[in-house]
Amino acid sequence: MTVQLAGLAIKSHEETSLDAAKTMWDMARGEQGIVAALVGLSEAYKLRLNEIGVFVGAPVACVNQPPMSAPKVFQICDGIFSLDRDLADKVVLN
Amino acid sequence: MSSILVIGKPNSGKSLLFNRLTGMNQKVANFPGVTVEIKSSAFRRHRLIDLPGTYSLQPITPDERIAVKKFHETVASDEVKGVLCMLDCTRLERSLVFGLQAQRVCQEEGVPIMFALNMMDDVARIGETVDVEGLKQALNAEIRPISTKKKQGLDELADDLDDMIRNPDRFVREPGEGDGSDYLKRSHELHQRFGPDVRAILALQQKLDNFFLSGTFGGLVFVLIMLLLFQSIFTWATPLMDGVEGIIGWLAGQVSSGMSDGMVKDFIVDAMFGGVGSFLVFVPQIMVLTFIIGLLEDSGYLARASVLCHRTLSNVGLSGMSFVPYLSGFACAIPAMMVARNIPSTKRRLLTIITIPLMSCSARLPVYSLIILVLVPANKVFGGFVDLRGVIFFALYFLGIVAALVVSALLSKYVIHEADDAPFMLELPPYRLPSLKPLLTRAVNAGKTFITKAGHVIFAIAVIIWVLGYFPYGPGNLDSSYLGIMGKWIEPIFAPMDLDWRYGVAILASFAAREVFVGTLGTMFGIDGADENIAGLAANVQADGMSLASGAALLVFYVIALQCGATLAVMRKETGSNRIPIATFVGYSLLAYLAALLTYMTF
Ligand SMILES: Nc1nc2c(ncn2[C@@H]2O[C@H](COP(=O)(O)OP(=O)(O)O)[C@@H](O)[C@H]2O)c(=O)[nH]1
Repeated sequence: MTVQLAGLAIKSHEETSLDAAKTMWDMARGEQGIVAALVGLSEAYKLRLNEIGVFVGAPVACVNQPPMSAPKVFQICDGIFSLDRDLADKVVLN
Repeated sequence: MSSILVIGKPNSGKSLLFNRLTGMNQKVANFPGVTVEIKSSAFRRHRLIDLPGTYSLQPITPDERIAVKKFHETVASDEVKGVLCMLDCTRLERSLVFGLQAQRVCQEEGVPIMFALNMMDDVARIGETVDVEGLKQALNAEIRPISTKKKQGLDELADDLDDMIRNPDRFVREPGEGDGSDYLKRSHELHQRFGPDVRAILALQQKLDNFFLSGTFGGLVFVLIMLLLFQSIFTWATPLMDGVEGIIGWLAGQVSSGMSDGMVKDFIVDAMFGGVGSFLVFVPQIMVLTFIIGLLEDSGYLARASVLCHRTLSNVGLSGMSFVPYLSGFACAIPAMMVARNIPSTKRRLLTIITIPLMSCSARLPVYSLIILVLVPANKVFGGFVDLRGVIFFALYFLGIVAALVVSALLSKYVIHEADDAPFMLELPPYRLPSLKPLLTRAVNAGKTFITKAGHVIFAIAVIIWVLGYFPYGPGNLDSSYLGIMGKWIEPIFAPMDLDWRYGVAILASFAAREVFVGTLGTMFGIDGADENIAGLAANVQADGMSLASGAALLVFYVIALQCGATLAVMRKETGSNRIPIATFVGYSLLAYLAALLTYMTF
């Protein structure tokens, strides 16, 4: 599965480091990955992440890393979402 | 009258559609109730009810909870005869996640539902389309493709809604395939099968984000935009303010020249034109402020600003989600506290609510403006590009923001220890060119609401002040009037800042509403014989010889003091506590006084 991503040169996740338990937060700008698991989240947040398109097997891409240690920006399906570290760190990638 | 509920995910264009269908005659700004965000208005022979947007029927924020609760309640009641669910075709999958859940509930309750597929102009622009017929079949529901912005398909949609009320059975159907629990999978599939390819839209958004969120320019652009906001309140509004001042002065001249001297004339000139009139001069600034905030809201930039601010605000116990309530707080604290409902974390929401009153709301605008006009010359600085008054103005707003951050940091560290369990998650909507007309209407409405809301308080207080200041010795004897005698009792409070009793009275009266300060001073200067320049209160205060130190102290006092009963009432409602508004009021009053005193001593 590929992310329908425009305007960015995408490195597939496989080309990047294969560290164990890489999370969404570890993605650099322009990188994409496939969700492997959602860990340590309350049911409500897990469901909400699912609803915005972050579910096991879904492709996600980091499209921006704003300044001032801001939350990162991800393309998730047809939407662009900003997630902070607390949340993005709980989404493990393949 | 049968009601139709309008629902959808946030940013699907519900508000714009609501305004287009109802001709923008909805009850806006019905504060101080908590129902401010649930708008309802007549449409043809029906009533449209607009609920706040939500991503899902499983809410995670207080505003979603309200919307979902209201949705279930109204759908289960006899009140609602149909539901219109908005789908944003540029974000079809996200829209369907909510749409499918809503469709299922409607079907269970036997309530008719149809869909409006909005933003069709956006997909048409990139040469894409939606397979509406296919989607219709798969959803087993009526779908009307529309562009609310371009006013395309709206008549047809209105006819559909009529039809839904007249023939409800046609609109109560089994919601297509599946058992309802698989709405995530289905929305994904439906999007894949029938939705447009929106990569071109995302690419444009990406390009703009690369600039607005870039490491090099992001922060700088943010500061520039904020600076521009405050500059324009002064520069854009000045011609309008001059115009209003001229009209009031002319009217006062016309009215008074046609009247014989005496008490009635004195009353009209002092209390009406001097008191109420001098407040009206500042209404254009409120309109300009509302216009610019609307412009920012509509453009999509605010979501980016929230992201940029998140880290900084987190450090003091707030969240990036506090940014928009703060910005709304520049217009009015009341809706701003309600906007704070979209902050999922209880602690961060509480801190946001408590500190919102430190954002300089539009009621402070007349006070700031008056004192700035008195103290600061109309010089241009930075090579003639920037108005000095605008800079001071910005400094006052900035002071309020700094005060809010400091208060929040202290409360977060020492007082509010609740665990913070809710992370930050925010959708970044596409950038859009705002439509001018709704923004202008909103600005005019803000002016109107401001006049009607504050007008009667200002009028009532102007009358009381006039009566107390006019009697027993008539015009020109303010010092020995009843008001003068009472004023001298309270004079010691503000004497340390070299503000005489007249300012003391105006400050105390403004605990009813801040704008009253200007009207009260206007009335007093009117009685005291300054009536040759009725609307030009600033010139009168200047001639009276207010010192820089006193003026600065007064400004600092107004930045911090919480002089608004309605704000306290809403704070009580939003926090469910009596203690919080009382402590906030007392705390800010003391802080305002001490900070003002310190400012006076420093100058
Ligand atoms: N291009 C385009 N923009 C639209 C359309 N309808 C609404 N918008 C814009 O979408 C944004 C969100 O609209 P709004 O009515 O506030 O959405 P709400 O959150 O659902 O109430 C605003 O900037 C609107 O101007 C449309 O049909 N086409």
